[in-house]
Amino acid sequence: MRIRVPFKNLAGPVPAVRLSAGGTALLVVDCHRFTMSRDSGYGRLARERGIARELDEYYEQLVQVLPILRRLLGGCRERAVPVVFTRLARGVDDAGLAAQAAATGFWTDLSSPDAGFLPDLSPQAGEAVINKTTTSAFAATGMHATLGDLNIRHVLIAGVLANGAIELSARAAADLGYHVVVVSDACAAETWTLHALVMTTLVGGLIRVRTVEGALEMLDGTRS
Amino acid sequence: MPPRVFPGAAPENPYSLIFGPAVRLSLDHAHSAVVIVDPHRFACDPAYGLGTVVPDRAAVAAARYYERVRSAVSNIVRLLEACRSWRLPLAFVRTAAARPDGRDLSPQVRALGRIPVAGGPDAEILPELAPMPGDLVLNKPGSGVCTGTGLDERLRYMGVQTVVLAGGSYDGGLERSVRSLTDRGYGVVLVPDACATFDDQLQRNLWNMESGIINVLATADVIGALRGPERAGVGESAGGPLVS
Amino acid sequence: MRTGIESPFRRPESSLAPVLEGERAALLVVDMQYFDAHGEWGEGKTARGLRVLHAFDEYFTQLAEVIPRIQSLLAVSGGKGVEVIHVRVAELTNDSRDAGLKQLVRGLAVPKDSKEAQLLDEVRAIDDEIVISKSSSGPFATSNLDRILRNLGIDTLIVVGTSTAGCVESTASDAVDLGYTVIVAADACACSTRRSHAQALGRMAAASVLVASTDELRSRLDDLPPWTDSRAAASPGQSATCRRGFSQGPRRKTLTA
Repeated sequence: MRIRVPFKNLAGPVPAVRLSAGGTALLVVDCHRFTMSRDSGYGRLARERGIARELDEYYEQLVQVLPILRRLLGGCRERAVPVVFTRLARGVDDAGLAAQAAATGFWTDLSSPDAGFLPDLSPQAGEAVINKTTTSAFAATGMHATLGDLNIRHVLIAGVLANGAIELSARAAADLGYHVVVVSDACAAETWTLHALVMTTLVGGLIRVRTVEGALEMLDGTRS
Repeated sequence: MPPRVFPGAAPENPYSLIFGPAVRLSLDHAHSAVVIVDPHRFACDPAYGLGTVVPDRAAVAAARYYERVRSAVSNIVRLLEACRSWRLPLAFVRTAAARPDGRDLSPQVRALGRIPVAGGPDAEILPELAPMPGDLVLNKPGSGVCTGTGLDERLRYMGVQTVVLAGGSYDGGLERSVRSLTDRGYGVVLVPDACATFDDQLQRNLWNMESGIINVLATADVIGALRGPERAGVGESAGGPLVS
Repeated sequence: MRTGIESPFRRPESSLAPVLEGERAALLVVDMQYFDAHGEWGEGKTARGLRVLHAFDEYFTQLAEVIPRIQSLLAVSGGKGVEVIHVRVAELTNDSRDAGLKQLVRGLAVPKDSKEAQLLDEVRAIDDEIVISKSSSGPFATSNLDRILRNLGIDTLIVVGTSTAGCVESTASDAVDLGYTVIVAADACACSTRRSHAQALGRMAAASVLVASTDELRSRLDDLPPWTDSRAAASPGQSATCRRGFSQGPRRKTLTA
């Protein structure tokens, strides 16, 4: 399938950005048991509806994404890049359930094991965790304020779903003036086609797409 | 014996240490031709063509270019006299479009902002150099004399092996032409005092281009070489080899 | 990148960067072969024999810096649909009888099966990359490269290699005259001296060749959509100018762009 993006030629090139100058954070979006483990969350919903096979491509992508995500996380921590985690979860005293989540069912209770993080893809002491039931990490969350407190101007985005939270968060961040680097091989989409579509169409303005190699090289200042 | 190089004193061009000097091109009448690049009002007359679209910030540089053109033209006139007296083939190669919108020109030329149309006033060859019947007048769509002109074929039909090159260069066309001609196996005698480039440094550089099958000669030396048995390459007959 | 030589007749540089589309672009790697880019072969060997190899120190230093940059551009090109074309000096015969005059007068023979004709290991042609042999400074005079580029639907060339003031300049300048948009990756080209390198870049810039850094180019290439389609998968109504992919099989499924 040919993906044409003619409008990208109307704009100039994505402006170069020096990530190594500090002011960069990694957003690990919605990577917890609900989204990552086939026995819970999406996987369980699919089984209940008798369409478990339809999620094969997603879980196939996750098999590749997980080690890369860990590498990205490790690489960022080594370079003292702050990390913020989000998850699709609502606590008892949190604001009401977002209408979108209520309609899709894509959320979990904070008290549920589905809200838990995978070992070695977990927040460490000092790393913020933002619970949300909206899709975009910036919608009805304290994300912008949290990043502001850390003086962040550029964000690396990784996690799931490429064609959902990742895409919306990237665009929301750009709209708020952040330079955005979406780490393509550290994101999973529902299907291969959707992954390619998102990574192709996201590029433009302040948003660029890089593999984990490229992102780490940008952090090291060896590539722009 | 190559010249001795003292360690630490890297020469301007290290290749000169391994190649040796340029060949001495013979200017024998049967195998030589003169090619004048962009000798038309478009490139040479400040009241026409390019001269009418020079931005203010470049006015001084443009004026210097036109001065060099004046000086080059007086030498080109002398070259042409010699050329005609020895009946060497002569080719004027000028940038000119068939279409008024210039769509048949290369994008680079079209971007100059003024289209010289064949048959129009901009395309007219300077009266001082007026072509005569028997001279080739070729319209080029680009910058170099070989691209889109058929010059190579015509030179070949005429048995030409060495090209005496002079003329204007408002876009690097002269240097480009030297490369294109030598790539096609022609020896080139470049005549810097019969050339006008747009930059002092480039103009000076013309004198340093001698290497391989490129020779650099002043107008007077070319005329001398064309005249009589004292010419360069003495020793071979009229049907002789390209090089001495 | 301003390099000091300006034609008063060139229109002010457009503020728009050229449109770069993967499938309309080619990376031309010029003369990165043993003949002229190695201290132990070809011209390097001649220099060594004449005991003047040290005069080429600047050149070989530049080459060492340039090779990794060329490699990085090679690495990113395929995945974006940018055609990689290697250009090199080589005759069609082993006795060099088809060599051009320019080479003959300098005794520069590069027979087809010689070591000198081979591309440097570090930047050799892989997979199905095109290799063009020439017997002149610019490739267009003595090869059918122009025809091939047209067949491939290419109108933009990224030029790297050696030497900046020699075959790179000849290639770039001829290509501009033939109507291509030409971008030279300045720091991915090597020249005998840094001064002649800078002068060559200046001349090229004044003659409508675009000059950029490897980093800038790599960034622009990185931002291009991944090349994932095959002709077989194209819908029937699509334009016949969609080239390449006759025999492209299904791509291995990975997440890397």
